[in-house]
Amino acid sequence: MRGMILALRRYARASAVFATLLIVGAVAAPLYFRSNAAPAAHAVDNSIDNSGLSLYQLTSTWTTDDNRAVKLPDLRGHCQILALIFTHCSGTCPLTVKELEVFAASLHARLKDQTRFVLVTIDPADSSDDLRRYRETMKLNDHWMLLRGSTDSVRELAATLGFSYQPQGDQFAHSNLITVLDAQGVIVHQQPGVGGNRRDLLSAVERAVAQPRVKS
Amino acid sequence: MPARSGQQRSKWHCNRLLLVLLAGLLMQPLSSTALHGAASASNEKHPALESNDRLSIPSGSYHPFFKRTDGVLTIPVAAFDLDAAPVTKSQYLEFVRQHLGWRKSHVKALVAERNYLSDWSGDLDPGENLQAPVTYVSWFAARAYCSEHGRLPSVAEWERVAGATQTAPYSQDATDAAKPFQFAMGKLAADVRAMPLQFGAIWEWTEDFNSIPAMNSNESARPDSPLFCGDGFRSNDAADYAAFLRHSLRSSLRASYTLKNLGFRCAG
Repeated sequence: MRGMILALRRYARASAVFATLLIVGAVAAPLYFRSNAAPAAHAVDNSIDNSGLSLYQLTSTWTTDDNRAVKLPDLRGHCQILALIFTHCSGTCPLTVKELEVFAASLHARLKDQTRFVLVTIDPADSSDDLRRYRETMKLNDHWMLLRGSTDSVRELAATLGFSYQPQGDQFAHSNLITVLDAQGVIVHQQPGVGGNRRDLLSAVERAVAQPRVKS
Repeated sequence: MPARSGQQRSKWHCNRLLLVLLAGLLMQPLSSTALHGAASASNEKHPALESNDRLSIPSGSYHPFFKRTDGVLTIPVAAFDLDAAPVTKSQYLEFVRQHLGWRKSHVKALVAERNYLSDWSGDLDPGENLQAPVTYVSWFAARAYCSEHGRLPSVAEWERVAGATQTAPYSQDATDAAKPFQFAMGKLAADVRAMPLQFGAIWEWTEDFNSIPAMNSNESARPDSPLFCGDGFRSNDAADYAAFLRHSLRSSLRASYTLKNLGFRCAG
């Protein structure tokens, strides 16, 4: 009997401790989670990512194939699929671009609407005209943006992506890399450009568009 | 199948070598005695040397230790100006005083990993030895600093000045636990050997550290694997182990990395 009372008391004490923990937890958890979650929601409102990892922090200026000036934050709001190329590339770039075109065509309307493609030339000799001709040759629609920039800007973007390149004769030795950015410009996925896995690319795009969209 | 296993084995070899290198890099204490040693040895010869002295490097050439796909073996390097010594903590302190965004509590993850200035005890407190080279700095940070004092040197420029082939037996350095890779951190070319250039205490960032892609047309599914192990290189000088180490380090770096013994100097 005495043993039972002791056990009951111990149980009561334990449950009191447990209840206290529960109450403290119930009060503290929202505070804790709000302190983590609130900046994210806030960041979406202000179109700034919370991780400090957004590529859109880079301040470089770029020029499109129709001679418009563009800054990377202008790409905000869509899932962007990014590849570095040069227009007279006779090696892997056309394959990468073709692969992305096939991928673009395979996207469902919902994803297609939220996805854009960016090709950046690593060749300082590529002009806007060269890019426009490239657009025509490769039959790229208005979901594709073609950019050129200064040697410094290209080196910085490439280094940020982990893309290596070096002029060799009139060609470049270069990595083959496809990068998927979410609406805030954070890298969600990277894969080798040639012979890459289309399924991985698709799941990356789905992850990227699952992020809250930014009103631009 | 035998070909494949051979390829795998060589890849493993290469990865293991790099792992050993990286482990060494991370664990090697940045020996202040070694730094003092290097500085004082140099100062005896050139008592007036200041670490922000910029020297005129005459035109010359760079011989990459690997063969490029276009067969070029010698790259001409135009005359340029180069700092005599790496940027010091004291100089970098001035820079972060001016630039809030480069203080360790403000820096963004995109441009510097968490280790950034991890040997500083505060935003404006580099600790002791202000004349030591600043390390734990990313490529972005080095580039931002140098954009106010010129620019970062290119790989070709750095190698033209300090990439002379090591002729002494490596074992002398390699057996010294305090500085296992010191021999790879720079050896002056014959025509600049008389100049008061300080090399050999740290690894250094270059503008185009990301200039050598792994030329593997058959890239594996892991996107980072070609970054760590290029299996398409043919060496010009298989004995130039120091050049191989520098190449391995450069090709394993990402622009946001901050390492204990990786600093920089500026060019003009």
